[in-house]
Amino acid sequence: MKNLIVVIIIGFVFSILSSSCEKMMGNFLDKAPGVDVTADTIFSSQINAETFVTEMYYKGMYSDLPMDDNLDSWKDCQTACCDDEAEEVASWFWSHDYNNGLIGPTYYRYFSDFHNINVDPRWTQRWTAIRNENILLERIDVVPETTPGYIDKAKGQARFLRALSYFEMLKRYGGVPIVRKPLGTTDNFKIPRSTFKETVDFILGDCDTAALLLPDKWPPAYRGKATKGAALTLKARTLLYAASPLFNTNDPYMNLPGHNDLIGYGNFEISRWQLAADAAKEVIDWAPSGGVFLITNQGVTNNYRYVWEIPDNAEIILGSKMQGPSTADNCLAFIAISGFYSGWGGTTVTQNFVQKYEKLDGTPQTWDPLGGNNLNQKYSELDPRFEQTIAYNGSYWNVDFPSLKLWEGAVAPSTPPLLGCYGGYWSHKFLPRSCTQTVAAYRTWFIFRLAEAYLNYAEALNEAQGPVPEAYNAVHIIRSRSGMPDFPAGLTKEQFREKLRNERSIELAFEDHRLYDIMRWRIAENEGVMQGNMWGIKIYKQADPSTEFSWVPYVFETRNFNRRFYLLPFGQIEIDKRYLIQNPGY
Amino acid sequence: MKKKLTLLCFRKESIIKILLRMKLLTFFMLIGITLVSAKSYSHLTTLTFNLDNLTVCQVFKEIEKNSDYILIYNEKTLDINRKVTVRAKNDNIETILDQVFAGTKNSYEISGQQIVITVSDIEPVIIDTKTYTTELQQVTVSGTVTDQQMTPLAGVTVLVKGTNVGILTDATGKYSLANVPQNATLVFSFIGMQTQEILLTGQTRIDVVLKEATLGLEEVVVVGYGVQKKATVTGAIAAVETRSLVQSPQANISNSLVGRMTGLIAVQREGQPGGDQATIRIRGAGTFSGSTDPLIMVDGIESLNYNNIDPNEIENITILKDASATAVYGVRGANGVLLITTKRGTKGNPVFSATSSTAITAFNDLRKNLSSYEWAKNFNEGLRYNSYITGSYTPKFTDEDIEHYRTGDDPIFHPSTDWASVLLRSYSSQSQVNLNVRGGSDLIKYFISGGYFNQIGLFNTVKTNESGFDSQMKFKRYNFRSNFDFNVTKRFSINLDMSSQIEVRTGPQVSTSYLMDHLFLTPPNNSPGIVDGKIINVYDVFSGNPLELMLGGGFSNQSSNYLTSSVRFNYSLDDITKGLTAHGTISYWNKAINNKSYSKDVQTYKPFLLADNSIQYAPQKAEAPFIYSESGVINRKTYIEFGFNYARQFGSHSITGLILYNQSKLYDPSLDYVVPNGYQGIVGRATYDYDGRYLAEFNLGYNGTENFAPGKRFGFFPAYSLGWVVSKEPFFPKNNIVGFVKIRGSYGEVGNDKIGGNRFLYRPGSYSYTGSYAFGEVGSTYQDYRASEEGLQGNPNLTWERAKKMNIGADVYFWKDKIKVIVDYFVERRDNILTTPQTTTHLVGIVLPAQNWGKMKNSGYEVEVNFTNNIGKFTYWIKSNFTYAHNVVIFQDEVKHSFSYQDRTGKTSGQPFGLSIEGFYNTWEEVIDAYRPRSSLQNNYIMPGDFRYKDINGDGRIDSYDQVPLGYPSFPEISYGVSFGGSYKGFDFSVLFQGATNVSITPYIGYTFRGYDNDQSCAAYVPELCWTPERYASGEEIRLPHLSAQMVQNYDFQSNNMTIMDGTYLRLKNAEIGFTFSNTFLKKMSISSCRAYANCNNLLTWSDMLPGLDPEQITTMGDYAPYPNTRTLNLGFNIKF
Repeated sequence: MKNLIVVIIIGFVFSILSSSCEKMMGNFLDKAPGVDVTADTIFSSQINAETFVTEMYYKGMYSDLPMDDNLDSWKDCQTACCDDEAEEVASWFWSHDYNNGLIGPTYYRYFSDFHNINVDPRWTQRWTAIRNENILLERIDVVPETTPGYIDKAKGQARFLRALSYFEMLKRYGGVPIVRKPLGTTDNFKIPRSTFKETVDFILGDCDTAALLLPDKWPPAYRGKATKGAALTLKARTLLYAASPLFNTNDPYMNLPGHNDLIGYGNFEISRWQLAADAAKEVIDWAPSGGVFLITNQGVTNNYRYVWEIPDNAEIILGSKMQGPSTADNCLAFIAISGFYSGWGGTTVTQNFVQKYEKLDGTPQTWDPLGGNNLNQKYSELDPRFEQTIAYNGSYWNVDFPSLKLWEGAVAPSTPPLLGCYGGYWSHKFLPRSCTQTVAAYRTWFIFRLAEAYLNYAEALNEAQGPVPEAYNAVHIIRSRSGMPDFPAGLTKEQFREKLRNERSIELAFEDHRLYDIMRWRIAENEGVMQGNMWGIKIYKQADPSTEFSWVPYVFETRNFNRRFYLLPFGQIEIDKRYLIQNPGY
Repeated sequence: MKKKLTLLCFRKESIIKILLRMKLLTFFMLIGITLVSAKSYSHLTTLTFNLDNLTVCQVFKEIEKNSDYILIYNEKTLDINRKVTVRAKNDNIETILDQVFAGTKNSYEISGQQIVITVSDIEPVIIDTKTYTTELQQVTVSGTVTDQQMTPLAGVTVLVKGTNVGILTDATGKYSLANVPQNATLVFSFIGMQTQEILLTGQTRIDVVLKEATLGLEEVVVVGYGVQKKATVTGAIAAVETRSLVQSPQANISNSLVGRMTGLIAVQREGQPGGDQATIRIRGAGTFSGSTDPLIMVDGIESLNYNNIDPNEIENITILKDASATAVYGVRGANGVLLITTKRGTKGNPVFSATSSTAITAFNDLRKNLSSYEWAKNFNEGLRYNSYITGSYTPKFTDEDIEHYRTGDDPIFHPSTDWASVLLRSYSSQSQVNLNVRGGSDLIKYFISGGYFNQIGLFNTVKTNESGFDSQMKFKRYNFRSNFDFNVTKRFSINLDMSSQIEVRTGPQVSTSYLMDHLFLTPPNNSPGIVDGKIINVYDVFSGNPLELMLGGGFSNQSSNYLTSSVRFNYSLDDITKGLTAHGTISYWNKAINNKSYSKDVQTYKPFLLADNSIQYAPQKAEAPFIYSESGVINRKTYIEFGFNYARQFGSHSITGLILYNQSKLYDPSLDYVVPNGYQGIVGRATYDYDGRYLAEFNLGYNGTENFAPGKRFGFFPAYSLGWVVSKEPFFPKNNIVGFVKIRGSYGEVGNDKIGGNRFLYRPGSYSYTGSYAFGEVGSTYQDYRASEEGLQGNPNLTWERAKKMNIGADVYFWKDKIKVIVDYFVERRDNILTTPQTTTHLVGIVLPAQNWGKMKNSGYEVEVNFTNNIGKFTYWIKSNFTYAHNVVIFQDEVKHSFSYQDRTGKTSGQPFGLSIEGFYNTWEEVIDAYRPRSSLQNNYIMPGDFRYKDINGDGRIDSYDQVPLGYPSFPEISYGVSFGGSYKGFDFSVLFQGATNVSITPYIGYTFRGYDNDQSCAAYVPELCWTPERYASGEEIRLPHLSAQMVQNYDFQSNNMTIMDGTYLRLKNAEIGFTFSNTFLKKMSISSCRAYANCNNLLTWSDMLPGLDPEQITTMGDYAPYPNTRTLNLGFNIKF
């Protein structure tokens, strides 16, 4: 007994001091079996891998509202509020800071977030999306027992989504770092910016590969996945941007000494426009094989609205499916109107924008600077797309608000929408008429729709070759389905350009195009575009029995555009890490 | 003290052998008061003798030589020359003594190391009178000996100095000693008390108050897995007296520790019943990422609920500060360790102790708000200031409104409600009862305690027509503890401990901080409150009516039941080698929480003025259903330990050793992955002591934690310490000034595995199915699909934080221990702090795995000075402690800021940053000055009455680059306590002041200073302290910017010198007065002592905070106003019988 205990104690002490003592302690501290999911689990079967493909869409499709910092929250406003289309009513939305010229590398949005708020809140999300795409490209090959073609299609989707994220950065920043694999602790993660050209070529490479790998059409159950057409359209849009004056120039908007190749090509080549035109043409030619058509069968006063109101219609090449159905309280919460249900803000449309709507005969509408007494009449003369886009005085919103009362002194039930309605209009687009407090509706957000390809084609062709018949024809297809006449014959290249830019702003209104079109055209500094006065109208009801309204234009906001805003700044927190060259002016 | 104690040594030289004739019951009891606790000694010590035919005297010498026992006897009643034969082999002392006294009238009582030989004779006997030859005139001296609480002390040795003449006091503390020379000196000594000498100058009655020898050389202190002699301790350890714990009637132990111990810094962030515990740190914070909470051990087992132990159950509390003391806790010891030891039984008749106290509680301070009249008037004024930015001034209130508010002639539509007085009461009550008994025999010793604590909140019990709920907060706690010690055989003993805490918390469902927030921020004109039993809402402003919030949220009842049971087996292995023991412990801890909630939305009414000027109240809601819900959670934890102790003395060399294994597993459904949390480790210690002069100690923790990968899971944590008792050196001059000097130093490593982040960080990056995305066509194939997301990245190389701690200290006692000074200096360098990489770029697209990169240094010093003295019968003492701990972040992978003064590295962890205020813009000339820095805030719309911020980088702009370090972190760097007290006859008093500095408080609501945001109320001090041209002109004190009524004014309320407030404070933390009854009446009632007392807590506070703001209360972002801290006035008594 005595000896035994001595032996035990000595053995105990010795084993502690010996090197293998951890083994002696057994497996008491091992993690008990649990529900671990690792990368190996994900890429062990097609079903699991498909969840990761879904994840690529979740993070990689840009969200319903393009500059939101979260994927599916409702905190931000449309980019339309930063250009001459509109303004956001709620004062805390970021468009006000943008329009006041307060954007900077340490731009702060809220008073509590004094530090390091990146001007582009989705910057980090995009890199996460790119990481996901790189992970998939790296690992998808090992997934066993996949159905034929599955792996190629997964890769095609990854390539397309990676290109999409890169394009979103290209248009905001110019050239950005190119990351081709998921970075780990031991990798060099201070990758410098690639040149503008390298970034464009990288996007084009991904688009070309994706177009080869992706199907023309998915089965209906997979509607919403990237198709060959989506890859082609992204390529066309990329080339259009690349050919545009902001980048396709030897005279950059500002000088970035030694690094002008980051913010543009550094020279002008007219052939870039031809490339853009060819790519757009390729989309148009592809469309029938993808089952994609312009909506022309709903009548000239309804074709246009049908495209944004009816989900999964034939004109959509690729739509975001981030948002499920929602009732008015959620659906309208912030992009629409405070006072409608529980809306927080509202996109109030400017008179600057309304004046872009031509009359039915294709001539500009006249708006007297001193106002007038014939508002209903003015509206009735406009392009039918006005009624299908804008909520104006007397227009139908939905069953709850059948006739909006936006005049001074209007009373319930539609007085609340007057609050903050600086422009005298609200935007109706993307808020379906069927959506009420009790009826949930799907909202459709386009990434690409076919009409864009026609306008891209017309613009690029005009720039490359002048107003050739094909350019006229492309415009004709778009305008005629909304009952608008063709452009007058015999326009010069410049005249055609001006008409086309107007047409593009009308057709693609509130679709996240105009802000970046203004940038790539370098017209932001023009009075009334992103600089200077934003006009609204005050509306007055005329004495009964007249049903007419008077209107008086007034300036509701004066904006400042700093030339440096043509490209966004990188956040100071990233600049401080000393691997990025900041864009000029910041 | 527990049986685990392995090292209990008492010096023999100070005890004189004296006959004892009375029961030693009270004697034993009082021993237990302080740290002295030797009850278990006899079970651990065994002796082997082969003594043939020696005298009793020789046998006694043998016993004393081979053990630490001291034999006390009277030669008159004991034949010390009788020859006896004793045979013993690893037998305990009783066996030996039984042999010695077989067949005599003598018997013995063992008390710790003392063995008192008694006879059936009961006369007090003077010892050794024959040796005293009298030449001087002799007198008879008598008197009473008591302790500082005026409790009579029985068994105190009263000795004529330089002789063996003496006597013991009787059960009432009385003594009478005849034939004492007139100029003799009497020496009063008692274990655990300071020896007192009194020179006779003719007096014949001498009453003596003995002071507890709390810091005396005889003490032992509790350390990790054992106890050590205070005199030979080399680590940095602090202890608190039990008396201080029971002195203030606190619900939570942590609050009783504030200001009592060096090295312990505490702040109380919340005051609500059942939730007012303090946050404690030992020597501040050593890490910026992981947990900074100390490890808490109760009776040797990690506790997750120490705060709810009844203080009456506690024997002592010790904190372990340096590596030497904490290394045995290895991976969990880096933040220091708090050890709580509960009381155990003592041999003797049962002693009952009953304590009861009742207190009234009240808020320390409450924010006072403006009345409706003042509020409305200033609202308009604020709007007028804001018009500079908004462009137009539209008063919110008409003159007519304001007039109504002023006159109060329209109480329904123009009310002025002080919500604090509607919802809060000015005082409430708190009571506490404890009854415990301790006693025992040779076989069983026991301590059994039952307690009840009841605390009522300070809400008003609001009754409406329909609310059935009592909205008051109530906290009740029932405590039960039984600690049994069984001596199964002479070598084998068992300790069986069971304890339970049952807590019941009832109150409004809505969190008190949310309620407090709304109570203070709801404007006074919001509602007249309750009219005819109806809750009235006039305006729908801010967030509604606080009454509605309080009652409508419903009522919650949470009962928590904690049960701890542990069994410990001790086995003496003296037959293998003397001084070796083995032990094993099994412990089980269980927590069951049950939450019930009842709610029914309350009806509110809106008043309407009818045509006839009568008022109609229209209900605002439909009848709501009654809702009931219940939820619960059960946690449990098992702990197993076994090990060996060794303690032996060889001549002047003392050696001890300890080695033990332990493991624990915590089952908690809220843990990640729902798998239990485990620890496993081995502890080792060796100490060496030469003659109490040269001390050396080696501690080792070898333990592991589940958080790290196999191979990185276990680590060695060694600590070394040395001590030198200079005063024991022969060369140390004998003097009356410096009596004891010890110098000690330690160095070692300790770990911290609570490093933040999730569990099992070493495992590969996990994926989770969080998001989803839809495909398909709306109306037919549309469907959401599950998405798998890359989650937290694993890092197989992770390991614990490692703290390298160095401590140098000295203990110096002056003037016969009247003044004791203990000084410690410490430096801790912690590395391997878990750091989220910050310098990785966003290009990675994910947060890269955390790395053990962080480094921090924490250093400081502590001083403790204690002074005890008496002037005649008036005994007084002063104790003071001072702690300073300052940390610096050395590395945290920070991105270098554009301006280096903004780097967080190199600064204290938690350093606040803000704009530096230089003063105010006082005139328009100053505002329009072209050279004034432009503000990026508020579009540079600055006006007189706004702060003038310093343009730190001189770029002509005020922006985030101008934020500089301001103030200190929210946990104090300096904490100190000064207490003093005294006693005179039956009276005693004590006072504790406690304070903290080097601390900044960002008060709970950023806009507290301003009011009016979202129509909130406004604090009463705002108009008195804000900037106005008039106040500026007249030179009055201005602390706040001009009035403002809208959120548009952000400029002034940035993080700045005003919002980061100096949280320095000094509190009169505790003051007590007591009286101990000591008379024959009590004796007839069989009451051995009775003390009544009154005390108060948090009576006064001095700080520079704005009125209504507590310097200890902050809230983290997104929280609401905490329930304010309270003060108590308490009356109580303690009876022992």
